[in-house]
Amino acid sequence: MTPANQYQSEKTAMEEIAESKLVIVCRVVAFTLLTLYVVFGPFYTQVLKGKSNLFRAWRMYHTRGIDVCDVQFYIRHPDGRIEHIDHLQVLGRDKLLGSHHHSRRIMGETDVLRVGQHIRQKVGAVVDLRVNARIGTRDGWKTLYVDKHIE
Amino acid sequence: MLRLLQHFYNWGLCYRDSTRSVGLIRIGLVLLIWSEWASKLILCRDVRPSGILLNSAFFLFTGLMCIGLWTRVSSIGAAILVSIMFNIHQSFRHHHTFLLVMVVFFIALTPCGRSYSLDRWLALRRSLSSGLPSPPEIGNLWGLRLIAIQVSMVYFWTGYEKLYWGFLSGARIELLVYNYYAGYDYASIPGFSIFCSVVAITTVTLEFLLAFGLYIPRFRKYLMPAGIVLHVLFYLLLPIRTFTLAMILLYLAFIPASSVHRFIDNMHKGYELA
Repeated sequence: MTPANQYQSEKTAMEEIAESKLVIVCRVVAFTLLTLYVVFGPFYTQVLKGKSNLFRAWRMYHTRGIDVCDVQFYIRHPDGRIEHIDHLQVLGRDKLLGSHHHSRRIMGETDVLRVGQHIRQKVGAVVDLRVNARIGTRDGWKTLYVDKHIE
Repeated sequence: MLRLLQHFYNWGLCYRDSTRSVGLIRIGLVLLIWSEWASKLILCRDVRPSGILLNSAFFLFTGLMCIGLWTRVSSIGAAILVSIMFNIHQSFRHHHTFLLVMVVFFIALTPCGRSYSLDRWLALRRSLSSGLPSPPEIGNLWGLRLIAIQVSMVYFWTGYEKLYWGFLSGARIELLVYNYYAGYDYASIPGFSIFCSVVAITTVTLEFLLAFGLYIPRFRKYLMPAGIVLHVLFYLLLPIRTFTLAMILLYLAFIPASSVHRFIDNMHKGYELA
């Protein structure tokens, strides 16, 4: 053993001896309490569904995407023909694709109708403009509109 | 049962090893906290005397912690201040900042100033002048064990939260795509729903594997790269901020500290001053 190594091992041994029983007991208590908090803290909020600032849940992105809508606008012609409308094209696709995702997405029923009104202004009042839409919920997609006429 | 408790006690509380891992985590954590909070805490943001005092104390203690001066005191001070900041600023209360708060607290429980710090440099200078060998970079790393448990629980509870049909069917992944990548008609892409379902199941499986497998050396060498890839994808695809880098940094808690020490030693082998 080199002098340096011997010194290191001696110092480490001295440190171990120097740790009083009180320090060890405090460490055991702290370690146990902190482990219990880390392991079971989320149990209160995630399993028991409790609300607390002390016990925090590990929920990531659990509300993101809720209310987002998938829409299909189309015109029903008098002869029964269906003409699909790319609403992004109407709203200005190039500009939208480069913008923040808040501007690109359609959120909620009112937003669907707002975009519908916008398209209505572009296509004119006489055509039969309709929409199919589904909305995001915690459990997945839910149908919002089926063949709804846009006034 | 007693043997199990004894084993857990030895694993958690009798872990004496190189302090280089905790030294690296200490520096990385401060940099992550600054990148998350610093712009909102600079002194001009709150000019009330209490605000200036608190924000100055935050920068002082975290700064000292980063450079490793009076590290035991500065890291405990930083842990207290970070907890206060987390609780008084509503906008700071995210899961990723909560992870940082917890880990700063745990790292303050270790002798994280014994490596890569001004404290270390001062100790080396003292030993040089007194003719003694260099002080050891060794300490009790029970805080590092708490970090490992924390990381496992992040994986476990986030995995648990995803155990419902809405997620496992891939629908929630679809919603995330529509939320963040709106602008295309994804529903018309063949196999899009199946792809989302595969992504969802893979994510949950990997999260549970990471929760327990990182402790097992045989699995660690496969799971750690897989976990890093998962986090990098999260970082690139979602506005996830410091969470990815924090988790990757905290993987150090699972690698034996002596291996980290040896790895760094080997990197410096053969280096001579010009």
